[in-house]
Amino acid sequence: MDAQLKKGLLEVCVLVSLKKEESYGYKIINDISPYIEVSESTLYPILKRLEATGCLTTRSKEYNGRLRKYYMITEAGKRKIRESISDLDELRRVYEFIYKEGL
Amino acid sequence: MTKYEWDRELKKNIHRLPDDEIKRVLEYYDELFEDYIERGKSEREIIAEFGNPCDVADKILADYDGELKSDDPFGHPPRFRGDKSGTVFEGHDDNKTDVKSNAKEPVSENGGEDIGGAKAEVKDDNARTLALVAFIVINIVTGFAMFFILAAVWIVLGALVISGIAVAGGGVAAFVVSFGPLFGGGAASGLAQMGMGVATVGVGIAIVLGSVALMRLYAKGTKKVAQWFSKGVAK
Repeated sequence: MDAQLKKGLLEVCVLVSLKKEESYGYKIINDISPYIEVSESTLYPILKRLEATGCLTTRSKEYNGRLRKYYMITEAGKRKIRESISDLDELRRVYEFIYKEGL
Repeated sequence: MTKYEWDRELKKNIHRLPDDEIKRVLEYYDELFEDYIERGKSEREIIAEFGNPCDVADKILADYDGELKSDDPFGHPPRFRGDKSGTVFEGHDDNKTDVKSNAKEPVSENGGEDIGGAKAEVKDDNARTLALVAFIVINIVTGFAMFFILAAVWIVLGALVISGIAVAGGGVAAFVVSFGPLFGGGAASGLAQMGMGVATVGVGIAIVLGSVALMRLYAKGTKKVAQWFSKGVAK
């Protein structure tokens, strides 16, 4: 898959995985890996960028005698999901066209 | 490879990043490592899962450098701004994302995107040039100051050595002069003067030795700092 496209989709997948409740690195990978290929090293920059663009915030919480970083979605993050969905609607029309006419 | 070795290798390769970024990366992997361990994975499996630390480092560095260059993560920014709301990128004004958000500044009119983008680009370039000039000026100024400070310390240390020698010389002179009263009748005051002379010589020698030791220490320190700097430049 095109790297840029995948990066964009991964960002949205991460945000969607945070929509219900806060989550942490390991859980995010587990939650989205059935749908999109993701590794530890690809997730890191995605999380970093989402935080830098205000789509998520973080907090450290103690777990099992150590600190774990939890990621929480913000309003901007939710907005980004909505926008991506309308983007994907558009993409679906293109997809159907390519799929129908191109095969 | 153990986790410790993996960490070390990663750290070595992302060494040029700011300290807090390095810390963030290592904490991220530490946390994942712990989570995997708690779910029964072995150290070896986890390291294999993480991948080659050099590759991981390359990814981090590429991303870090790319971030400064304002490329867009989603690949099609125009749809995210303009007619929709223009507020998508709010909360962006912290320093870290400044450059990036410059290039993405929301443009309110539909057709104005290209112009807005070009404007942001120019602003971006100007800021970069300004930063470069400031960097050079600051470096020249601090460079001179550093040079003078270094030179001043050497002068002070040199003066200390000379004063030490002078004190020792004075002590010798006092010692010699003390022979006068010693044999001229005033044995007690002669002896006292002689003792004073010897003590003064001792003090002088102590000052010389002390300042020479200080010089050595200082030279060593300067060399270390210089090496550290040149290593930073080379990286």
